[in-house]
Amino acid sequence: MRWLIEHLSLAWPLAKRDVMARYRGSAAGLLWALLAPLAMVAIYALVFQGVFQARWVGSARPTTGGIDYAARLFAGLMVFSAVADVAGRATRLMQDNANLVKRVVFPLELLCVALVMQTAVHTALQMLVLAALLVVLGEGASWTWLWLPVAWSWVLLLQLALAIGLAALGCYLRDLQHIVPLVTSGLLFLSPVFYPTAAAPKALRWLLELNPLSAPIELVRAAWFGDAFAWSSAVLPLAAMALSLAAAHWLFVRLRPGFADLV
Amino acid sequence: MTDDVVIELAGVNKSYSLEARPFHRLWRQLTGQVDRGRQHHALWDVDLRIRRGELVGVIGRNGAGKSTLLQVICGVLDPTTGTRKVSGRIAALLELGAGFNPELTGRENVRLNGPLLGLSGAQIEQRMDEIVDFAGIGDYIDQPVRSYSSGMFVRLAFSMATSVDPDILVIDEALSVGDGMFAHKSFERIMALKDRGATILFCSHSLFQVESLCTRAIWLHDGRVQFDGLSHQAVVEYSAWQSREGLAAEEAVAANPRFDSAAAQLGEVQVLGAHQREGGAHEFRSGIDDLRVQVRFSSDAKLPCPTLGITLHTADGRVVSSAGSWLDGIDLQRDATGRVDATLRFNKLPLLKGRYTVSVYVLCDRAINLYAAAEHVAAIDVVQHDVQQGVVSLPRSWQVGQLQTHG
Repeated sequence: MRWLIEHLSLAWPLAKRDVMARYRGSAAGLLWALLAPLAMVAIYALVFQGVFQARWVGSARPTTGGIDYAARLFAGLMVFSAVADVAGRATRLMQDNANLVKRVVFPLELLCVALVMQTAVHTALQMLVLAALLVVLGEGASWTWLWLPVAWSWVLLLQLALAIGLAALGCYLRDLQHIVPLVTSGLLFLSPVFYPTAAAPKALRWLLELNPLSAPIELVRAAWFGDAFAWSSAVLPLAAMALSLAAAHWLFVRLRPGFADLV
Repeated sequence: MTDDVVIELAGVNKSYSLEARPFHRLWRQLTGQVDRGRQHHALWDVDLRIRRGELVGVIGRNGAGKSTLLQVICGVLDPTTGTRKVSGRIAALLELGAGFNPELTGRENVRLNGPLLGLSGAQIEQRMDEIVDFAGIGDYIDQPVRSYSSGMFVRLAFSMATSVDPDILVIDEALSVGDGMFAHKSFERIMALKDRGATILFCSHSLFQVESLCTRAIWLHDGRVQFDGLSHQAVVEYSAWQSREGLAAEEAVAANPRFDSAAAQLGEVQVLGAHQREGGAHEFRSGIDDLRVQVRFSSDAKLPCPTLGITLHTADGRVVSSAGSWLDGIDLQRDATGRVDATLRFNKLPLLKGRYTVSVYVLCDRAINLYAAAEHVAAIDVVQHDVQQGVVSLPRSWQVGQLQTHG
């Protein structure tokens, strides 16, 4: 526990520096953390709803229509983009911090923790916006929001597993830098972001169930909108996540001695 | 490990895989077969035990593995095989400020790097003022590091690295950093740490510096420890090897032909008293002409007056003789601007025929920190009319007649 606290307090300035560095000098500054995802939501909502006439299957509030769809899309997209962001940047995390890898004695796993922390900052902002939106639009706050910390812990651990594993592999396999963004952009449509798992056709259902992102996305959305969540469906993904976290850590420890020669 | 040994390397090998295929590399690393396949060996089977309070110099030509050895000791590199045990807090002055992030302010960088040096958050805050003070960067501490001059950057990094009361200091090449005043301060701090019992390891091109500073020296050659022992023996062995290889002069000149620091700058070095000049060389008659070496240098007037060292080398780079103003009890006089003129005279030059070179060094007041150097700055040719053999004509006497059997 002490170890964890010390590490987290070390990782925080790293995360802060990256957040600051990302927006330094831009006029809108940290607003970009909100503007960009909101714009994406607006575009997706327009296309899927305006063009494809999509309706959220199983929504208890059909009356609010467009806004309801956009809000649900936002809730899911938030999770997805947080994970995709971490995965994409993890593949070159060690290369980006070559100084720390090669020249000083540095607990490199901290970089992974810092990366996850940093996206968590963005996500926290987006969550505030979504909460504000829901309140303003009259949906009101719900007791089920108390589940959000639990749901997000899941997402964070998933991010951490990806960050550690991909950072280690990314040193050796440079191709990952190109493969991962490709995979994530495809995965967006195979995740329950634009539609709930329940609405997916049988042919796609098994793919969604294999997708480690499906369960946490569903859980987060359930927490936001007070939908029912079948915990039985979470058992396998949770176990898989725990396993992959352990595997990623093993991989990292094992591959780490070679980092300095490769970055 | 006895409690006196602070650094212990046993059978340390460091090799780099030359495997270019990514999947092969990954697989070897995963299965622990890193020493298979084509390898570049940077260190071979290094055994090293360094005790508390030792001052150890590492010498060797470029690419001999000096930096790799220091990096392994600091833990920046992991040995491929073998074990490394280090007890105590280690301050690595290898690449100053490598852990700094340009976007963060100096203060944030210190906070961020402190824990990596083994300081807790509270300890850092405690020492913050002292660190800033020593670095002498004032209000800049709250500016992003990218706005620093390179001098400020190094000063802050040095100040921070040495503020942790290290038990072991590992220094690569430059023993002092920054401008004249700070170079002096930083060197004093290193010496103060040494006096407090810190163990110091450093590598240097300057054999002179190694010999004057260290009691022990390690000569690395092609990644192996070629010699480990008293520093003057190491220097003798190393220069003997250099002359056998015949690369001393070229290498020394290529490595560091002339070096000035903010603390002192060498001006003109002139060789006077030659019988005649031919080409670039001055011709002296052995045992007849007086060799005079006239040196002018300027120094930072704020620092204590430096000392001057002059060495004579044979053509293959070995030192035949040397003179140090501090050894001879000479106080150099300097004018208000810090300029010093001095002439060293060898009466009736006792060198025998051959070509020799002259090197000049300006050192700190205690003659340990090198401020400026001009190595092999002038060449002299010595001619002689008899057939005496060797490099020097020693003062001598003969006794002829009954042999003395005792004493």
